[in-house]
Amino acid sequence: MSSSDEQLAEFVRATAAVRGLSIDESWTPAVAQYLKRLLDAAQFLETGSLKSEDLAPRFEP
Amino acid sequence: MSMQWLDACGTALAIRSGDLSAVEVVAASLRSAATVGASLNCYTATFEEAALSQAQRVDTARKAGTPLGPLAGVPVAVKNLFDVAGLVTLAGSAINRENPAATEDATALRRLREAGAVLTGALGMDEYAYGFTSENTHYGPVRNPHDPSRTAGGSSGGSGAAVAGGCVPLALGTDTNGSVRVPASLCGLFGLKPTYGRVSRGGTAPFVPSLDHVGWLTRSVRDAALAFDLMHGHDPRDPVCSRRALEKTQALLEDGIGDLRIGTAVDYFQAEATPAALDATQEVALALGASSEQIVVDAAQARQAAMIVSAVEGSAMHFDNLRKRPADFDPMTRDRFLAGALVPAEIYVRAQMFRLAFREALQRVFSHVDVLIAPATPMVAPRIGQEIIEIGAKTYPSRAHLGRFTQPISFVGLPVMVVPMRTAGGLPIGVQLIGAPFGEAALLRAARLLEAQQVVEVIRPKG
Repeated sequence: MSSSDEQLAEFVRATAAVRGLSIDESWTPAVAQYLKRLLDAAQFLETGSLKSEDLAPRFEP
Repeated sequence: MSMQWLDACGTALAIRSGDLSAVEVVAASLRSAATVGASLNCYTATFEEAALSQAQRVDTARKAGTPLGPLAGVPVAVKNLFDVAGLVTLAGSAINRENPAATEDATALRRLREAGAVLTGALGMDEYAYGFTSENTHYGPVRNPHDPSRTAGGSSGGSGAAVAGGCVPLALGTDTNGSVRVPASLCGLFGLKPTYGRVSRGGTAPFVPSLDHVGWLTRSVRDAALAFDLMHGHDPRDPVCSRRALEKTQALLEDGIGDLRIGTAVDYFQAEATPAALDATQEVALALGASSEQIVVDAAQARQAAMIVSAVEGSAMHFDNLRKRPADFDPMTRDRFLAGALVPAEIYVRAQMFRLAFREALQRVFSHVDVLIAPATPMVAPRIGQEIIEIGAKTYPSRAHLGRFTQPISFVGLPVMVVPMRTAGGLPIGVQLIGAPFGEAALLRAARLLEAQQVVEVIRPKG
């Protein structure tokens, strides 16, 4: 396991513990792998000039 | 043709005219469910007594001269995430077995029943609809009628197998990232996923609420249109259900496509696909006289963002159970649900902001075309258990790759009709006709033209 894989596995363990999720050690590599896929995917999402307030419900169109 | 292979409209006509009785049609459907359906593992419940009793009432009403609904006596089935009064809504899970039975039908099912349809069964799926292959550890994999060693697609795989296997002419499914369109492609059926919010999801078990759509699989375009006409329209049970005026499509089916601007999606939608998928798409484009090529900018990123939104919203739906009893989830879905529960909030927000930008980009595409043609799946049905698919010199994870062409489109809620083609190898593959928001009628007209010209066809399984 590379050091980045180990870091990610540690992130999974720590975050899961904080969130009250008990992730079996045998599941951790697969969870970490999919989480990494999601994190990597987010790097390439261009949102242009949009800001989070654009997601807010508004009373006028 | 035997009644097993009639479409829903043809079945209803035969019952109205007295050529067939509703009881014999429904009994035949139930026999198919017990034989073909069992071999394909596509049903999770059947309703013999209630279905035959309802069919008897249809026959009695016909003999009495009482007007019949447009689907009177026609057997239908639903993915087991639709509430059926008196039945526990499994949604492909073991955990849901502990839930009480539903007290009320889902709105879409209720509207079919009001038209006289007879519900014969509930159908298998991926756990909580999180998958493209209907491989389910709790209930076993749904098998493809064209080759039982292959997947029927997912997550509405039971719906695809039941229609393609000759058990029912019409089955309801849901589509979040491609879950109606992928089974339609792999099983060789017409599949319609209307615009987000056009058909009520009231009484369905949600997977990703901001992406979930109701859709259906059929053997003819006229059945897809009839189902749309019966089921769309506002419903207070679904907070995103559109208040837009009803738009009936059946009478428009033979209008042709003379006034429609038709384009082909290129670039992303021509890459990482087998020749079979690209040839089928090209054939449809030629038949419809596609006159432009459209690049959907950032489609790859849209697919990635759809994965993020699906994982995060999906895990939010099941967070309590992920905390309390993760071992009871299907190992096929559990890792992704758990990963979704760990995604930093900033990433979800960015995916949702990207979604707004991508929606605007796609709206610009639809200022140039009314119908956009793209493959439905990159390949024919993979084998059950197949991990990797090789396309050209590259390999891809076969399950996830099935959603390559469907995910970017449902991410912004556009309507899509899948039309079925036969590949040189004999297995089916589908092509997407993608429309502007609320453009279902244009899609159905284009699909009907392809059907009438026999460019597309529903293939009966061998044997």
